[in-house]
Amino acid sequence: MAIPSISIAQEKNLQEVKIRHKKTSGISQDGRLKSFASGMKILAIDSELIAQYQQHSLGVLLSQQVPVFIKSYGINSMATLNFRGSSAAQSQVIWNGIPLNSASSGITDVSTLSVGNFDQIQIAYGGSSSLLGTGNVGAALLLDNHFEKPVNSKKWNSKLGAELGSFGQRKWSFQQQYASKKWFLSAKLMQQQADNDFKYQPEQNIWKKMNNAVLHSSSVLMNIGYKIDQQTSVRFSIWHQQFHREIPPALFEQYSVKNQTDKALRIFLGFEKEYSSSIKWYTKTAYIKEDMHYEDVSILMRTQNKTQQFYQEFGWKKAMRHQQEVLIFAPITIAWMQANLDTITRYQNRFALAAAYSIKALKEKVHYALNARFETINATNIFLIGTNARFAVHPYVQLRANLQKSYRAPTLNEWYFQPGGNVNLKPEKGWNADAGYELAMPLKNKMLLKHDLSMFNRNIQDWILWYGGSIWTPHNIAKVHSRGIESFNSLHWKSGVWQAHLGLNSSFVLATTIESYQANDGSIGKQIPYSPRYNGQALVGFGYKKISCKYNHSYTGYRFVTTDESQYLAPYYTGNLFAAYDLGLQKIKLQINIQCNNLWNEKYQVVNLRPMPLGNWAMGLNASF
Amino acid sequence: MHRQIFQNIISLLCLGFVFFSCKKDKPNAVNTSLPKDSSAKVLIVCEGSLGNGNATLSVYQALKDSLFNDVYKNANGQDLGDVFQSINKINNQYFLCINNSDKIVVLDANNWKQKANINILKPRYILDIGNNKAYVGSLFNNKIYVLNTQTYTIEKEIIMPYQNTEGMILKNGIAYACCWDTACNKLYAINVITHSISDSIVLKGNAPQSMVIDKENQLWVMGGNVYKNKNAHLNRIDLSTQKVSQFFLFDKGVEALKPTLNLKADTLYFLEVNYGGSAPHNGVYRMSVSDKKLPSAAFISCQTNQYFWALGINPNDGHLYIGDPKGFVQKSSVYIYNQQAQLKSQFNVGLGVGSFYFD
Repeated sequence: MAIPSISIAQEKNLQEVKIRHKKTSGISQDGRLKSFASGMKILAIDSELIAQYQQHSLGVLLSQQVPVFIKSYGINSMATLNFRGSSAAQSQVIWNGIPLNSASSGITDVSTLSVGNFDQIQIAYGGSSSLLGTGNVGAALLLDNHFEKPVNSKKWNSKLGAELGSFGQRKWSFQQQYASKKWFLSAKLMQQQADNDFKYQPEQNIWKKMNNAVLHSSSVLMNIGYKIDQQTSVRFSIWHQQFHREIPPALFEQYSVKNQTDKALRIFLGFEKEYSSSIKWYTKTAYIKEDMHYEDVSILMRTQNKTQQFYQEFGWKKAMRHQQEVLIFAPITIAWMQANLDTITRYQNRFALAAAYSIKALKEKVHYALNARFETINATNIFLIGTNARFAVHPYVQLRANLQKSYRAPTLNEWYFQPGGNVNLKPEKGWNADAGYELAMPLKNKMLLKHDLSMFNRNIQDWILWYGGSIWTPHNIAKVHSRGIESFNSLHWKSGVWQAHLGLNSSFVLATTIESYQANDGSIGKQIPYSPRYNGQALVGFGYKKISCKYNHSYTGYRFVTTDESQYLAPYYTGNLFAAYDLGLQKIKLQINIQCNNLWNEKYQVVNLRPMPLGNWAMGLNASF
Repeated sequence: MHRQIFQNIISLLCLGFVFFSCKKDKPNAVNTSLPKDSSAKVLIVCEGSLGNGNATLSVYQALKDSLFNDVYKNANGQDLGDVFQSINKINNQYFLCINNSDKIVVLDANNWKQKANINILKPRYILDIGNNKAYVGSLFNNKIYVLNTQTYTIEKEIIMPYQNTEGMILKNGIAYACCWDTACNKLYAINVITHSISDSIVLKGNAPQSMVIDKENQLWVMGGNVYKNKNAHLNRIDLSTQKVSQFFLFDKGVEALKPTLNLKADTLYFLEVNYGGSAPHNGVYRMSVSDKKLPSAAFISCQTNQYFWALGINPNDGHLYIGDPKGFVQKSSVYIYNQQAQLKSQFNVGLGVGSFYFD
């Protein structure tokens, strides 16, 4: 399976570049995607980009490097995913194969996930509900950790990172890794603080300094992998993080005293055994506990939301003759919530049995997969099916296609939140189709051109949207049609000690309401709120010996605040510069870097009336020894 | 050669797809004109959607069937704020309570230009008590602010026994005030000379919220808080004896709001709201002030997935103005009905239509 990469900087030489599209490096550690998702578009974030953004949140990385809309409610506030016009709850975040989305809200706040916590980051575009689980409608963000000794890794490896930046930003991280043939141990500690007291302009000729915007966060992640023998391995992770955020005032507010504390504990245990070269079985067990505390003393509001989730998956995989593979797996999720103002503990139980089949043919030029899932969510039974295929029509060109039935059950909050939960809410159902091609073509032995184009079409019946005045309630809004085109393009050049790359990524998404249950609904034919039609990035970079410099320029088009397009936000451009110098000492690798974010001082708001910072600087130091 | 051709074709394809453009992205411009003559107007309070700062003021001139949306922004070049709760006209000035922006905006009634911006905590309603003074109720605190409507300064704070002063009404030199607190079961009488609580009336039911006075000088008080397990209720109070003469208790879970009277003040209208947009108890209800029980059927029912959030009766023609906020996520609809429940007209205004002020 070929995976388009969004940067060439890690390419070591042109020979490697030439054959990259045939290599399997960077393929997901998730066994389901490895063998049964060849026709899906999967984007792997370059390892060098992961290193570059290690002190930042996933929201920052994705918004600057991938044409996806990250709905950021401003500094110190939530940031959610919008893939291909999907809602935040329609995009799954999966960590080491475990769904991370909150059982209560159904979303993941990507502003609380630090890039440095993960060794591999991928996006699986399009629906894959039958394979990756219900709720996965727009795309899945896959976050994985190493549990085995990485290639070329030393036995002992330590990494230290520190960053100082504008608005009192102070971040540091430390990672200690031990890797042997049997054992892999990794501990990652991260901490950040920020005052976020940036200047903004609420009105013409008036400048203010942002207040009530202090951030404190810390996270500890430990991964342990142990190979009992060549066929048997155990994996264990424990991850705790805490975010305390003051929430600054929006432009319509005179002041703010709001604050929010999010705590999460995630424990993962995996076991894998191969019986022969053809049969493998595994189990995954996870427990996730999330505690959100929100306070606004100005309106006497104190909200606490506690959610817990237990996840268990058993899987059995067999490789058969003629390059066929079968996977049968049974994921179980039991989630429960104790919500504010609700005296009853609310449950959502999911029991699923899923199967996947794949076959390679025509000398591996064709890879076809068929997936199916039967799932019971509380008392509702559902059946989902999906199929995908990839065809290498030319050594440089591959075609792919994916068709999936989508399903998303209402979340615990959507059913039971007090006040406003709606127990009569129907699940979202629909079909998701996407197709595309990718090209990786060497030019004159020094350059590599990559081009990847996808088209998608999705119809969702009973799309869930929260609305209301003082009391917000989720409603089904009948039918939403999403369709669009995405393109990823890059040109890489390397000669001697010089290398350079150009990239241009774009997406065009039409996500419109086409049917409504509401009388005189003005949203028919109109774009879904906060789903920009146009989004794109231009990426430029060069490297000379130990110096590297990268610039990305992002464009985000109009976002509508209302469902009838009567209120909207202006498009914005942001430019970000990153420059680094590598110091290779005897036993220590040092990198000094400098970043300038929002280089052109663009005044912009991602979400209505939540100002974003103007140009700001950061300086970082990374040491590996 | 073939390779060269292949490369050229691919390059052209790439360029074509990179620079695609399929749909105009920029929305159409909106009408920015302002009402200029002094004919009768209906000022339409559009609350906006909580947390989005998109409150607006619309103005409708019924005789000319002219509608002007976003009047404040068109006249002043800036947004009004977050949650426009209420409006009142005092001394040829409009006082706009912008609840979640903690301010009262004062507009010149002649040209819609802003004259003042008064910072005040969570203002809800403003009551003109004469002598260039007004009372301002406040959400989440237990104060009524005494505002000088000429200097725009707060002259005094009246400490109330409970928080959330909502409905206020002036009768015979006494201001009656509701504290919309689930622990409160009284209506408070305030002396508008001394600005102090002079008396209280015990109610049946807690959390009083809004009031009207009927043709028999009986005070109707609507209250309750469904989400805090306090049933909605109506007290009819004889102001001469200061006793409850009639009490009406709504069914559990029924949200009753926004009482208003017709021109003769002999029929009470109110809204019952089901936020899920389903029947029953969802629409405009009416009852004679002499009725002994609550109406069982809606005078005007909501359709499926609809609820009403604004209700007013035009003193000039007796027509009912009903606001459908459409979930506070798109332009609201205003429906005008006659007293026979026949739809006469409809138009769209800003987000979250909440009330009407007939000027």
